[in-house]
Amino acid sequence: MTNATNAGADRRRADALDRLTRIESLLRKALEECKDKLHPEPRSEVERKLLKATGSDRRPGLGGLVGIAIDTDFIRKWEYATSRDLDALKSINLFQLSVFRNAVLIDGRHVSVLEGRFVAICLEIVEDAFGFSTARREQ
Amino acid sequence: MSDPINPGANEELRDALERLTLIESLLRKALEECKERLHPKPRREVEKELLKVTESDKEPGFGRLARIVKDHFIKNWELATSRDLTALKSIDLVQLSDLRNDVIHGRKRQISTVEARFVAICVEIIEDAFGFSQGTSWFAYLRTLRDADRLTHTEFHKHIEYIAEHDLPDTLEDFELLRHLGQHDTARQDIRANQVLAGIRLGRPVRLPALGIAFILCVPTEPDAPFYAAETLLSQAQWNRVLDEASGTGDAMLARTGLSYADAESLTVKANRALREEGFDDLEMAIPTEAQWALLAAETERSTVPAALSEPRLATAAATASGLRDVLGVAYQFCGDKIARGGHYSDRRRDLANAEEDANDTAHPNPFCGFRPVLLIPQP
Repeated sequence: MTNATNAGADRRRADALDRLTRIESLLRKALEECKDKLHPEPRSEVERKLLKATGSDRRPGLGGLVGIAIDTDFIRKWEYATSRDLDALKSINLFQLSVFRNAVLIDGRHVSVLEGRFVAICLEIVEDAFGFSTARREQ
Repeated sequence: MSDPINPGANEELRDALERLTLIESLLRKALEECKERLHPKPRREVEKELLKVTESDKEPGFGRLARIVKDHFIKNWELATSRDLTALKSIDLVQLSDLRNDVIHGRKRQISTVEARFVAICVEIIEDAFGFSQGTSWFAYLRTLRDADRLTHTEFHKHIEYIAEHDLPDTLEDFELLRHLGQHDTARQDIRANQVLAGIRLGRPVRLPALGIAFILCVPTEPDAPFYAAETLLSQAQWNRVLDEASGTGDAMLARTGLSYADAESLTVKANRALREEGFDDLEMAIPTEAQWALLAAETERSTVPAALSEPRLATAAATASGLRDVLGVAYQFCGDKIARGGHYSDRRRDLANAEEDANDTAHPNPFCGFRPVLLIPQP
């Protein structure tokens, strides 16, 4: 009796997790690759923080990457360097998204329809902000 | 009032500005109406912050409201209501206020489609977080119809203009106002009926303007037919409205209890008459069958059962995955052949098994019995 509903909830959770993981990958890619487009001073700061974070045996997860982005004010600097309007990206609290991802991944938290749609839009915004959306469509 | 939008602003920018303004009013409403439900200490904090602003003879603006909500309200609202507000916390409200200022002052002249959609979903998340959501909005319905090619672009704009002309904000209460306006306007009544039917065809949550009740699609495994279930137990206000008692006054956040099975049957008869009058010939409101009730109850998790309550207060716990609220633990709900299930608010044993217990007496008005109707829909 409940299979259809449960299947929908499971799919929604899996989709959200997939999208949050992609946000992590995109942020990592942005910090690793896009930093080349920053001016020398902020670029070296990002490199230093990334190096410090990866100095341990583990690569930083979404929370760690968001921490680096916040500490280095990466988004504002990226906006300045590229003259792109990143208002939408700045309106997302990326740290909370990392908390959300952990809750879904580790605690098996359910994802509502609204939350699922929200995460999907956040992914689009991240792709759009760092110029990866075209590349992804072409793949 | 002069239009603050730049002449070159695109249509999406205008929509986004309307929504950002709506967010400001939702935050104001949340602080004014919801703070009463906070624990005393955080409530005093919020009042103190609001006082700081009003002492300077100023009405708090979007930015100030956003900061108070972010720093003093969300976390405490989460604690007071036992709700998980991760989505709300993932929105930087202060940044949204900056965005609105940039649009108003012409610093931002274009908005991308994804940005517009982001602003739109922020409205939904805020409405949901503070319990202002009552189904899909008028505006969203029009978009649904347009996207499904059921409204032309021109017709879509005509309807939006109608909303603006009557100074109806893009809120979920619009249906109420439009229902009132539509009493002498059969064409508009048809539009409303079409919106609901389009929503049902798309499997979206719908709100019946005639009854003021939001319904959510439930899909059992075949061969059982999909049906819609009311999002919550009927509130006192909804119950009175359907029965036209005291012009629909009553608490919108308290479940109507003290009912007998016969009361629920009478209500469905009256509601179905109202549906026919509104042109919904194929929809039928009913008492759920035992199987339908079982489907709703099976979705319930611990987090969706309210903590101990002193009254049958609605929407204090999280919604289920489908968006249903208060399935267990608020009031027994009639189903099947003169039975009622779901436990009730004054039962101090707060585990799911007890919450699923049956009521002893449904033949007479029972202080612990409420009603969650289902809506049977035409099958393709």
